[in-house]
Amino acid sequence: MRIRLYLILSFLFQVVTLTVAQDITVSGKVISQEDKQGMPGINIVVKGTGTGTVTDITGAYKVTGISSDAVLIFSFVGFESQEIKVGKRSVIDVIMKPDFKQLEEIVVTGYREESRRELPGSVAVVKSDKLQNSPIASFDQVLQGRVPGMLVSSGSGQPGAAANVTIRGIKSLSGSNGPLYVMDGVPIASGVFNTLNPNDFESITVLKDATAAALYGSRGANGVVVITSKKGKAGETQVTYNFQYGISYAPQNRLQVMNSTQKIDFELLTGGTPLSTYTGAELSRLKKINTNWQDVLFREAVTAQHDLSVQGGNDKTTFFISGNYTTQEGTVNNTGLQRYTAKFNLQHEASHFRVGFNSTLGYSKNQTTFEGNSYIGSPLNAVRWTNPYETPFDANGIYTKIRSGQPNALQELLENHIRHNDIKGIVNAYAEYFIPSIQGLSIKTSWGTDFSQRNTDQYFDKTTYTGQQTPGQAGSQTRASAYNVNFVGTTSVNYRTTLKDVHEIFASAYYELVYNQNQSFNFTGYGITGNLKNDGGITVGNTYLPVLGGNETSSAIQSYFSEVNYGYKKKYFAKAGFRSDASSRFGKDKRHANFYSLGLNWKVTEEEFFKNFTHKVDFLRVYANIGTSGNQSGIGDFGSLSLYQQGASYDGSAGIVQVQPENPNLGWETVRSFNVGIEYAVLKNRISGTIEFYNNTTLDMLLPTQLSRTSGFSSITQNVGRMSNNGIEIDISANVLKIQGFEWNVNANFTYNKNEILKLVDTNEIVNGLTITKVGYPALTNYVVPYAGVNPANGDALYRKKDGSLTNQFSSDDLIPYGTRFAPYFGGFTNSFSYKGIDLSIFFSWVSGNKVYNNDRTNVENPTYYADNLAVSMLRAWKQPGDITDVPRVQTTTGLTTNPFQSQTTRFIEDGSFLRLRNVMLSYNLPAKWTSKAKFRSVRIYVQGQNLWTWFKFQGWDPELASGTLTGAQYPALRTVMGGINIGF
Amino acid sequence: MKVDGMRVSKYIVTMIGALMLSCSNFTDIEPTHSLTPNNAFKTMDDLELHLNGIYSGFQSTGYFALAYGTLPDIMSDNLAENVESLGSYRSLSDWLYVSNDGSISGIWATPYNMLNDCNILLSNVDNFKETTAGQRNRLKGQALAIRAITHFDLLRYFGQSYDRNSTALGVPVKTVSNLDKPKRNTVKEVYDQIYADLNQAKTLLSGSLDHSVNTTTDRSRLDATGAAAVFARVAYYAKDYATAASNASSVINGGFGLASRTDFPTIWSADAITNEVIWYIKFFPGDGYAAGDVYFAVNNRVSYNPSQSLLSIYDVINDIRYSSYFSSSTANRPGQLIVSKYLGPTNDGLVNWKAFRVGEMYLILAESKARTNQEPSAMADLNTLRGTRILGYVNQNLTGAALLTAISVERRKELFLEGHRWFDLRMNGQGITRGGDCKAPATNCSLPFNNFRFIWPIPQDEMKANPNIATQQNDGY
Repeated sequence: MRIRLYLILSFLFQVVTLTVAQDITVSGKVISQEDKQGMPGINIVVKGTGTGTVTDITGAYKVTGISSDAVLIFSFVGFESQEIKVGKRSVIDVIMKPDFKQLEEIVVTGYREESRRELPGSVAVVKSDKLQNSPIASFDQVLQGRVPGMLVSSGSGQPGAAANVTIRGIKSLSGSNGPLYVMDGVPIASGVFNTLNPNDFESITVLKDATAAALYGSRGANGVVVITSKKGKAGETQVTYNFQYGISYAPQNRLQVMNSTQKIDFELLTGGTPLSTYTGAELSRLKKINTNWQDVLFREAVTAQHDLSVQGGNDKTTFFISGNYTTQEGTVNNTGLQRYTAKFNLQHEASHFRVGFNSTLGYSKNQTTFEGNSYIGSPLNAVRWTNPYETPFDANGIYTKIRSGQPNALQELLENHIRHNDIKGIVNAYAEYFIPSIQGLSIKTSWGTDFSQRNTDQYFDKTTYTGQQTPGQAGSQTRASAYNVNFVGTTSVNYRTTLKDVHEIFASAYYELVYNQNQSFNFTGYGITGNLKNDGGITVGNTYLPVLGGNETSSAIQSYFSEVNYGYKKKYFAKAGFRSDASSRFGKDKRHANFYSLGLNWKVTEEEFFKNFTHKVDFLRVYANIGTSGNQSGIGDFGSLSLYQQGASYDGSAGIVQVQPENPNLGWETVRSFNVGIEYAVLKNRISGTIEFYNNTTLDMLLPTQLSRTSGFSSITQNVGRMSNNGIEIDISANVLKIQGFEWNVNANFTYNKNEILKLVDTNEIVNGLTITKVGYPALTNYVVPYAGVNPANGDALYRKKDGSLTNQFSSDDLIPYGTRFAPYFGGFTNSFSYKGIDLSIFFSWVSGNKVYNNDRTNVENPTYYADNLAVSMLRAWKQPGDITDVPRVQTTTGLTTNPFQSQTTRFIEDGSFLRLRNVMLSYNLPAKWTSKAKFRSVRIYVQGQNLWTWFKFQGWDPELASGTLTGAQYPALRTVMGGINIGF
Repeated sequence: MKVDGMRVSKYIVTMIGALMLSCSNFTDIEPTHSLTPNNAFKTMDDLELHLNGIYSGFQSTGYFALAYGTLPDIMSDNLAENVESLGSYRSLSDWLYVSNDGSISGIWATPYNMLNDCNILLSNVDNFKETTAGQRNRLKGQALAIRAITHFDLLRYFGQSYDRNSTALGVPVKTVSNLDKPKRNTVKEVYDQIYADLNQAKTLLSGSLDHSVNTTTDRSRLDATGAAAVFARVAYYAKDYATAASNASSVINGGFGLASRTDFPTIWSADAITNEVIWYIKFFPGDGYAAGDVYFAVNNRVSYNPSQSLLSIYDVINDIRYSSYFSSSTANRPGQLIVSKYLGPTNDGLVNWKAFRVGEMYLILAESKARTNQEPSAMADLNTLRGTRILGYVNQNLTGAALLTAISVERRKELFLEGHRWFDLRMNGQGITRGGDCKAPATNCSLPFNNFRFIWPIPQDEMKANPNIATQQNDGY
């Protein structure tokens, strides 16, 4: 980054004329305060003249022909500028101090870097220090609570699991809502992050509106997450080794189930299960068994990481190399992740050329278990469902056959396996040529690819429930391989110029090709009857017909776009973008779409009239923008075509059926975004922050227009809806205390997002099971009947009708929209303290205002499932007239029930709010006098805790749910405590 | 060599221009692993695959794997829910359904999904050259027969009446593949289409064919006999007893007959055809389990037991059907009687679904005759059936209501768990009264005969998508 800035800045000097006649020569060396190394590329300007130079590779410089009363300005992006009067000295050495405020100024908005304070778009940056050494394997989860407007929720604690990420609300109901992820200029597949090493990331930039994301406009509707990996720094080669080790454990369970005595008594009350035939002695023996199935399945898990990086280079060539090994056991037995990554970045520049190469390779091995379902074969459901009077093993050490017909969860977990191997490669090469004869004109071409491959190995043993549910009942072995490859090629012509010293112009025209291909194949063999518990044991025969499959689809986007940045006197800035895109996913007539963006930015503090106030307000800018971006992801590669598939076979012969009707009018989904914001710094920069308001409207929103089922199809996707997201984002940083080496900083961010459906087609509502999408309400609002408690007279469940009266009859006529599943309020805050090399940072994240549906409870509070274990709350069930309780009576006698259990009620809607102590990090940088003796550049030791505590009401392990509902089999988020050491050589 | 900037930039612009031109078709991508109308059907042989695809629809839970398979018995008095049941169909089995019931929605959609492909096939079948003469007749005849049975089965659940000329609301008739939003046709109009399709199917399938539809070892498709069997059932529901009797007779006299007491169990245990099975749905490994929702052999999970009221009507010792249909469970649940009818050759529930059997034809024939003043002949047919099934059966001589009751009881015994009981109860105006074995987890044990729930609701999602049908909901929903 430094090298590139040096070029840009030195170029700026070239356009300034050299005029003044001088006589003194000054030389010296500029070193960094951090590592005491010489700093190349430092700008040195003689104040008021425009004359200047830059330091060489060793940090040395020489300025000739200046007068003794001249003042030299030493500056470098990311460091505090210094003004030094020359006087009679001929040697001036300078120590540069980092300026953390300024560090954030340069952001990567895609193919280029921009000054954030000049950019009229909404951008947030997460620096590497927030990403380093996180005990979470998938970096998207690390972003939770870090970025205003970005809601990150993960429903899974499975090591390596990706999160559900939305930026400024959900904007599509049919397409994808996840942002576009770009790493070093290459769009990468989302959701496959367990093969990336966040320690390699220099920064993550989140582009939130059409102006900021203009260069990705056709795919930027859901925001863009730009990952910039570390580049080498010129200077002495630096080797850094990091090791950390820790323990993870599962959080406390908030949905308690019955113990043996409670359950046996409850079961006998209704009767009809095997226990009814047991003698009293047998029952009292069973009551003494109290298996905690959570303890059977869970464990304390080990996490460890080794990370080694090497970087260095000279002023022409720099490199960054790293390698990482991470192992993370899951808190559920037999689950975990092992990851190996390598990175190599190289940059080189010659007189008029710049070339670079970035590469990331990752390989991970993941062992998982079923989660997020209500399948009885999922071990994680057994924690709720398996009776406490059952044991995993019988007296002979053989897996117990559970009386109710439940599978033995431990057997399912240990004898079966689901493994994924992920291979990922991201490679990018670019070349830039600065045309010598036309100052400011350059041409750049960049080509990259993102390759991900997942190999799945799924084995179900013949002795397990899952293994017996296979054809031939003798287990199965599945192998699947799916790869996704994404090519992108971008070529641009760029022109930068300054007219009359006050008009700064930077204009670019781009041509881009994006091509994506998915390929997969799979087979499942059955009849694993022998001792080989893998592919080698597959039997191919009449009862063991294997299942085979393969698929391939492709899509492409062709784009022309341009962008013009204009700055006037460093005060007024404008940015305009226009683009034309064609996507293969749409019909010929709907393939093309145009997008635009326009943003204005005013640095108020640069105004002359404001100079009187700058002692109170250090910085103030106001900016606004409007623009459109497109979305075409998540709708299928051939969504506009009538499709037939040859998947259905009959009687051993191939069969063809139509699977999709023709849909020639399918087109781009467009989001129009409008954003205004202010950025400020006051009290000598001790308090700073941004406040932004936005309005995003999804136009032409793709909706599944319902079809008469008599057509053979249920819906067709059409561009007919409209939805808005309005919100406010506040980010504030404060230096609370700075006294005698002790420093206390606070950062907090807050987001409010209001999602509202503005228009649907044909009908004002789309009901999809437990949710409704209705005009005037947020998308995916819960759709349930109000539960009004229990009638004390007879124990009936009562429901509130629309007219307010109570009834014991559940009716779909009484369904009402009830709370949104996506949290409208969320944020995070950090307190960080530092004192003499000791740093403590305490980070909280929170969400509020969402209502989640707890399907897990419906399976343990439904009395008809009494053959398996139930929630302890069922003991509160109504028993006799006069009982005041919230749990309806349990049917114990034969006969007509007019009041059956109902799950689609507010009884199972819960508050999804939580406040989570996301990360606590305590670190100590050993003093240089100690480390230098041991020949170390630096040594840092640290301990950290992840998810140490969470405050919530939700009845489960964890309130964080990816889709606003807990179906079942929850793999709770890990609580992790780690210690580590970081050594610089 | 020095190059001036203008020349370089010209060169670059030209290069980019060339790149852009060469990629003008960059976004033209055709699917490689799916078919489009351009390449799906190019010859008559491709339509054979299309017909296979349509048949595979019968394997889904929206058809014989639940809806028209075990569900009519699950909803009736033939089965009692066991505590092991996962309760997946409780809204149906306990008649709690309302118009947004997910299962009903799927059962409405499945036959229409198959009808769409039938209609596409029928629109294509006249456009291609036959590979061998008679191929067109064979393909077209089967598609028409399927179009008939799918319309008929929809009518059975959703139609307001079964009478041949009723002007009550039936279901929308679909004979063209399109995205229209049709009204419900009258019951008569639905029958008109079914009759026309079946008459044409029978004609085509009895005409000259390139090769026979079924073979002696494989009766997985609807041939002329199958079409006649479908016709017999349709006409029986329509109370068009003459047509019912003539079609049932034509099946019985066309070389089919009742399986002997020795052979009868092998129909179930070995997927044998004998002379009795007219049409079955073939289930290969991986195609699912036709009756797994009642007894899931793979896991020994009993969701429903045969009810006491059902078991009590059999001659336990002498009736071959009792030992063919029921047996004692093996593990964990000593003393329980389970439905073993669909254990199949490998005892794991992988079994062909017998959609039409000669036994039913005898019962249709007997009842049709009994209701059209041919009671002695009707009694003779009933005696034939009983005599073949029951060891030591002594012929009886019943008339009037007693004869009709006997036929009805015989239907319950013969056709247990073959998708009839719910409809039989509705047709006979009998309510449902489950016995003492109706208990938890079941929550509802009786349904009076005139209850509106005997006619299913038009699914809410259809009503919302199709304004023309929105005012045509059945009573009570």
